[in-house]
Amino acid sequence: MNKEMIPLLLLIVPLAGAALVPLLNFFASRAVPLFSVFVGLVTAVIGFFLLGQIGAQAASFEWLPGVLKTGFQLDTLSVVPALIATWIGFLVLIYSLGYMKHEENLSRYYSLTLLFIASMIGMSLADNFLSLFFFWEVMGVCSYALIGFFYKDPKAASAGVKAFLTTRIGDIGLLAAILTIYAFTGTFSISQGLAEGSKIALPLLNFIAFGFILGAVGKSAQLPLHVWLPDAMEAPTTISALIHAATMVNAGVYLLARVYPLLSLVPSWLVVIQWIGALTALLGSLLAAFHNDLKRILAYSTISQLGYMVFAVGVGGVFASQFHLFSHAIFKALLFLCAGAVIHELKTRDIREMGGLQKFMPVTGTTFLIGALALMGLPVLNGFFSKDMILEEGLIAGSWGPLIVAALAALLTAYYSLRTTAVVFWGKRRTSAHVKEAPVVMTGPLTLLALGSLVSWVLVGPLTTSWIRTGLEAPHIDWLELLRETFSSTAFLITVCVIVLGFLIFYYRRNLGWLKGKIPAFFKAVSVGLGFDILYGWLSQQIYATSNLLSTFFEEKVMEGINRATGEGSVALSISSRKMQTGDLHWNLLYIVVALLIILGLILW
Amino acid sequence: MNLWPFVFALFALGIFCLLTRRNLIKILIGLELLSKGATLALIWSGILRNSLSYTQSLAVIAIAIEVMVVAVFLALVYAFHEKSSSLDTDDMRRLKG
Repeated sequence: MNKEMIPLLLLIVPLAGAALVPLLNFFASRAVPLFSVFVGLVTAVIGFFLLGQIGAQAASFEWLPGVLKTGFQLDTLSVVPALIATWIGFLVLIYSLGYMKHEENLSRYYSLTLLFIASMIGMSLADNFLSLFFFWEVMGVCSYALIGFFYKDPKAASAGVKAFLTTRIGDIGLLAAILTIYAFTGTFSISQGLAEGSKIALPLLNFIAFGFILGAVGKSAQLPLHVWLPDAMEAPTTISALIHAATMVNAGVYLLARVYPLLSLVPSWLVVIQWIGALTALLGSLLAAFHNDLKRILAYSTISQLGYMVFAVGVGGVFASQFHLFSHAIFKALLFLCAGAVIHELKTRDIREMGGLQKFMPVTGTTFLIGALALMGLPVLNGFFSKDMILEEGLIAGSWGPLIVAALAALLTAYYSLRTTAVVFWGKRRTSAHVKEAPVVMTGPLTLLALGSLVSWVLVGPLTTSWIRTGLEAPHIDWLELLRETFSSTAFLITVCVIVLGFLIFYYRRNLGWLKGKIPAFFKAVSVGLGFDILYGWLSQQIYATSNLLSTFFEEKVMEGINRATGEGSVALSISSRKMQTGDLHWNLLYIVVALLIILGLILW
Repeated sequence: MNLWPFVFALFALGIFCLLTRRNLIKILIGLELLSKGATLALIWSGILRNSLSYTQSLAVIAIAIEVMVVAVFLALVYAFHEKSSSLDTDDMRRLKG
């Protein structure tokens, strides 16, 4: 096989799978899930081959001669998200065999999932901004369609629309940035655009950076535009795990990391990114600590972790952000899939109705605990190393404000991870439903992901090696060095402090009950997500009302006015001209004669 | 010889007749006078330009058309008379706006 074709194959196989699933559904609808898993397996295997291609030259094709030459960019930065999509996508497909067994319209589900995997691969491997944007949008469409998969539930349908529209605000920024770069460098190519970016004038560069940040904020659910992600939890849990935890929401972070050379030219925006990330991390963990909906807790936790990654990009730790992206994809997919197994059994998402499930679902409970520990950043799990690396980058950059906020968020993260695990899996049993362990197709992926959460940080050596080999900046460390450095750094102290504090809060949470009476306004605000939804709902209502008013004015006054003016004008004209019609034959004859004379006169002159 | 004054006289008579008479038959006669004037003008211009055969054929066609006009006119007058037993134009005022 021609080695240059591997990335193309990686893109085409899931795409072809997505196209074939509906066809297959006509002949053998029962084979659809297995076929999709098979396609996922082939994609995952091709993914392994792609590992050998990192840094290699890939085939490229001239789509629009002179304007757009599209191909693949195979550096570590782009390959990692693509591989996360293929492998976690494959695990999720296996898991879906069990989770989606009794649902209808499975061909739609599998087809869209495969299409999503393909577009995530295409997005991250794209070597030019235009195809990046194209796949970026395809991901958005898949996300919209899969959030609204249970379209008979009006909540799911409107959540899909909300996600689509909210991310669209960011997409406008991204498109504007891409087109501005094209207008001033004359190329859509990412590497050339970034190289020539330094020649662009500073005000314009500010605008470009703002566009990219807006795009990332929309897609990665950062602070002003985070509202879509909690609502997106109406999707099937598999989709939440794949799209809204492991892959698509990372696209924004990936984009920021990708255009970091441009962003670093405008330091003021880097500070903005730091604050966005840190505040998002705090907000996400705060809301996660007070929610009772299992999936929403995980969604807010995702928002919070994405905030960390954005913060890492802001302080210049591009590698740290990508390393945390890698860790987070694994443990958050694990947490979501565990939550899916629990929800599948109990048919409820409210954690107050769960409890004591460890005895009945030992595998799910244990893997969830591993995921939660990785999330809070307990030493020797992958989340610990990556989060520690981010805090260390923050320390090196010396941006204390955002760093303190991020540390506070880490404290809350430790608290809510423990709280969620405790309420769901430990303690008294609060449900009478008959609960049994999930089938092997579901626990298998859970076990694999739990193993990944335990050991994936060991890959830091190969990651940094290939990272440097493809011309990106990173310190070269292997896993032993990582261990030594992490445990001797200042950031380690912070991590340990916040974990211990978070654990103490969790342990003495009953003693903190008096707080609830003291600051009721705070708890009320937290219970409605700090009012972002209300504010945006009010805003969009105002926009809608204003546009309604304008359109009514235009329809009723302007267009209707034109109609009435024409009608009434002709009526008035006829009333004034009817006097000429006497009905007397002689007058008519006189008119004819006069007209003839006039015509004669015209001819003769 | 000059026939133009005669042609104009016929025209003037016809128009005078059309505009002043109130009897429909008289109006028809006025119309006839007009078309006779037109036919005469055709013939006379043919003589003056020395292309008589051409204008003669035109005149014959004009006369044929005139006959049809008269026939239609008379039919209308007859129908009007059947309805209102009058030939006065003052009774035809239903077109008043």
